[in-house]
Amino acid sequence: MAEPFLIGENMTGGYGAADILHSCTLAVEKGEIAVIVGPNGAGKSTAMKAVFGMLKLRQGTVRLAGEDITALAPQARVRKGMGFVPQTHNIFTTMTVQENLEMGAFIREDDQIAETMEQVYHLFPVLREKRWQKAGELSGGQRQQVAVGRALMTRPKVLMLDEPTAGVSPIVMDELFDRIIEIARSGISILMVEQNARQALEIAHKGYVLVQGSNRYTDTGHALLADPDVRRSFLGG
Amino acid sequence: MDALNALVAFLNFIVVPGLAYGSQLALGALGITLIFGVLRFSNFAHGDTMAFGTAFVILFTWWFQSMGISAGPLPTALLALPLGIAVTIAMVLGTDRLVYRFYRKQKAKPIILVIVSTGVMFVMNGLVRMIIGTSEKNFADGARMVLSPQDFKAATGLAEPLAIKTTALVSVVVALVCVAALFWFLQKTRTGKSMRAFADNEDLALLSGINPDRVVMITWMIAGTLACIAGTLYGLDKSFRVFVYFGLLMPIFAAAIVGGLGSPLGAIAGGFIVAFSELLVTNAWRKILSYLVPPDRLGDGLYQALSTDYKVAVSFGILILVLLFRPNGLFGGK
Repeated sequence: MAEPFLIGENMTGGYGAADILHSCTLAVEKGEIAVIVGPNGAGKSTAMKAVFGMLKLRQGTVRLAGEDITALAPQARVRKGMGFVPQTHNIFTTMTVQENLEMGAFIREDDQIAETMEQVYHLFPVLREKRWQKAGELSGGQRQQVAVGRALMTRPKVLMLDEPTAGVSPIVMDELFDRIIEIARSGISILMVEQNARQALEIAHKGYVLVQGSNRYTDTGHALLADPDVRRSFLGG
Repeated sequence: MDALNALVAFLNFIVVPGLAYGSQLALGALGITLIFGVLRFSNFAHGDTMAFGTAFVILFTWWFQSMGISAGPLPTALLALPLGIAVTIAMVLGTDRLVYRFYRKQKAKPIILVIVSTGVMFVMNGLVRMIIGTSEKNFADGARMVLSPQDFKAATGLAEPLAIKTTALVSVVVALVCVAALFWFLQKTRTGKSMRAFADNEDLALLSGINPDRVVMITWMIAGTLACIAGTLYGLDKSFRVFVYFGLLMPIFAAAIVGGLGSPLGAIAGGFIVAFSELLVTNAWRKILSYLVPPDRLGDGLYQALSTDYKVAVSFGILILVLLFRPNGLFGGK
């Protein structure tokens, strides 16, 4: 089988002396959704940050479209086509929705920025309505849309989302998941960390259950949902 | 007629000088607030940066005067201003390269940068004294008055004169131009927006590919420009002395904090609030009251809340009140 579009392989590392990740592997195929779930403190966010280069790896490699990008800084990875939406502080609160999107396109030098913005407004119609409003004045769900929209403005090949539905209502969560599926259908790979494991695995092509910084179960989303061990340990029966 | 005289006296002693002084403070406070927003520390050297810029504007003014170049009715210093700004920018960029960058690389805490800027302040203060001396310098030339008191009295027949100094008008006009240009830059240009983005959320700005070194450099350039202009306007309107500029730090900081550190709009409002408060509190109201109150009821007092020697106390007072009751400032800064 050909290599996945993005893969972090056998990643080992942490913030200080102690390792948080132990030979952890994450991968996502072109236009697919990969979801990382697991108990609190399993290193889900850390694993994703490692893929994005925000964590120094002692071992392992990260490859994007076959190219080894292990040594690249996060900013350089953005230029290579990776978009990252942090869990918190992911918008410019004092700037308008439109300015947030413009800042997302800061590194682009082509003349199709308006086109991409139109696509983002098409994906999130409410942002078009509120485009002159300060992003900090929006509701939690709308802020997340701004955050995802900002990341999409770079026209990434991979979009990485750190708990995009944290702190939003169930209805808004469903809505966001629908949008994420739509983004994936447009050919962008999605790698995301989710607390709402059951709903996230429903839409996942691939699911990773992490425990203490290691891969515990890896399978398709539906297979994981059907696995009695996974259900008992992580999904509450 | 008496009410009109009182109004004219009020305009003459409070409104006109307040607008001029407020414009000068606002430009100074804008520099403080920009540095705070982007570099995240309170720059105590800003008053002496103003002195540095003004000193060079004075030197260039003398040079122009010696060559017989003048700006007609306007002060020659306005012609020397661009050269002064260029030197000030070179100085602040040099200071950043030599001093602040080292601490930024180490990710030093804001309080350490404040102390560092205090050090820069003392060095700058000494440097300016070596360059231009400690004595008072008057460098305003051109027409002294836009509206002379005699003309006003002759035209209106009022007992009270209204005078508008050229330097007061120049202060207000130049400040208006600077503020309009700054807001256009921050709101409309790509670079200005990237500066606001960096001030808002540094990590996300880096993720968006905004170059921090460029943002820092442009911030210093703008702050240096504003400092040089503010200092020159103040020096034209009053006079230039290094120690007076050192003392300007207080009202400028009060203005920036009153408006909310990090908020450009707040800095402007704060500048005028501080300027008018100083004038209202230290003005001798006897003259104005004498038109409104019968002479037998007026008494002997000057009706002055504080002597002008204590005008710095007004800034302190405002600062304490704001920090007690509205610590984020009127316009919600940081």
